[in-house]
Amino acid sequence: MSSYPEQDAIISGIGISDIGRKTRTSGIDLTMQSVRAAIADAGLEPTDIDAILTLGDTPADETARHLGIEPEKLGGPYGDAGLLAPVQQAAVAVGEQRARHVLVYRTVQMMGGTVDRPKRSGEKPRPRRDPRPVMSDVPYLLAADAYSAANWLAMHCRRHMYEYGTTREQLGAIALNARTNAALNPAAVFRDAMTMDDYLGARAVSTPFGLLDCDVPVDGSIAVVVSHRDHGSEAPNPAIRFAAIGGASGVGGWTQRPDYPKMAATEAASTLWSRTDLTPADVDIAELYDGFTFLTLAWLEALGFCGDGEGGPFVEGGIRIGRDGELPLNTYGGQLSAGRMHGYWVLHEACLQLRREAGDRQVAKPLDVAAVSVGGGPIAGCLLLTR
Amino acid sequence: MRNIPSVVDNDRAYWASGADGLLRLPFCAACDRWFFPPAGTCPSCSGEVGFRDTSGTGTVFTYTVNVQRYKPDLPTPYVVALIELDDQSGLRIPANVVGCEPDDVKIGMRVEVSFEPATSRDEPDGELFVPVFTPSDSGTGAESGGDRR
Repeated sequence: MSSYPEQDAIISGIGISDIGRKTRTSGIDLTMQSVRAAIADAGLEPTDIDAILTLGDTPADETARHLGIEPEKLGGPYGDAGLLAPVQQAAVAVGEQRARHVLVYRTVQMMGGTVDRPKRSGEKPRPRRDPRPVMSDVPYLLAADAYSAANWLAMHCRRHMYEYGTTREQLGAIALNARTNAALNPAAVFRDAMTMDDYLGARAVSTPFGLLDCDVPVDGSIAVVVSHRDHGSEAPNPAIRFAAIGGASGVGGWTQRPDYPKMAATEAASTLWSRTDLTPADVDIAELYDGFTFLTLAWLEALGFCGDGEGGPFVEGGIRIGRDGELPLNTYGGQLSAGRMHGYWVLHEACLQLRREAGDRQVAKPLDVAAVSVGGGPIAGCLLLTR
Repeated sequence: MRNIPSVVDNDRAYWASGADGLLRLPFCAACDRWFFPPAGTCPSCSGEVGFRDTSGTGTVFTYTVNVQRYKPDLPTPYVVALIELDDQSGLRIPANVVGCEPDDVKIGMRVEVSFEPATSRDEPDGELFVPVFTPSDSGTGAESGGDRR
């Protein structure tokens, strides 16, 4: 037994569907592509899968039906990791031997750009309030016509600029780095070269965010199989181990943290580091959420790769975060250029890089430890993965 | 006319507080503190909650100029801000800054509350208001909103 249950879990298989803009492919078809690939990659058959975890589009029971299996219901104790919660629940369940192989996937489909849906006659009103405490300030943001996370996080970014002198050009370094890496990823949706002038000249969305600070909606599905580590010797591909996991409950919501513009990433990272002897200096590669450029900057600070307020200088010029730099960042192109897979492409890429299967974009230096993070505002989860 | 997406028991007094031009926020007498967002009990001591008048003055703590059109009938650009009220350090509410050019808004700018009439499908007959803030020349009471750390 290890100190923490996730340390007895591995990622034994990974799979990714076709990724594209307006593919007209159904969620279940995308899901079948990724989950079948992940199960085969793990050296397993669908009948080996004990449980399926996901969130959002394409529910687990539909996927189970298409795989012809009847998995167990699996509830995890670790519900605070936002989009990564299913991965962390799987790792904990496997570590506690409540399951042996858990299939986890995320399937996303592009959404429209407006908030108001056309109402169908007879449609029941939706519940008026999101019951989660982390969303308790959202009704007041909506009443101020702040409908998008772009608005909410732009305010964090503006305050960060005010307190620390962070610049648009520094945020742009994150966007340019993503595009440079996307050029080497055949699955990335935006691969044409981007200059700093392109970045700075893009139309404004919600200042200081312009269009190229925002990620790219896509259709796609990514899956992983989380297995007990004793499957590692049988699995056809190198096992990726969980060194630690972290999540946060989002105290302070989107607007009320005393240490604003910090976010729940701070507590998620703190939990992560409390569960391992590894330190930020041990991390060889970082795959950090970039729903907006600023979130990557915030995660770099939260995870301790640089000090509070030092994220801008850390990424400036892009050398340090390039594939040959000291901390290669978002090597597949990020959500900013490859596509918005809601935190699961960072996970997939970390595994691929640690397995040294990333093709033209494989980082040349030896890679032993990868940091993966997902989320923004009061929603945060992170992983430390090792070979 | 503004729209309030939802009105619940805990925040009805907040949305009604524009009727007499005073901004009222949830207040815990035991803690002697305001808090936000509204809740059924005090987030610090779980005690009983009332509403208490504020000065309605404060500073822009942070802001964004929204340019994206999220609703076809909502003109852009407009300013969304977090306003830190003079009454208590760290007491912030989300609100629009109006009455000036969006590009003139800055962190630390002095503002005062005004109210725009609103409707909500939750309270079709209610007299409701959305608080907004306009630039003011009033003193520099707020410290934490504008001070660079």
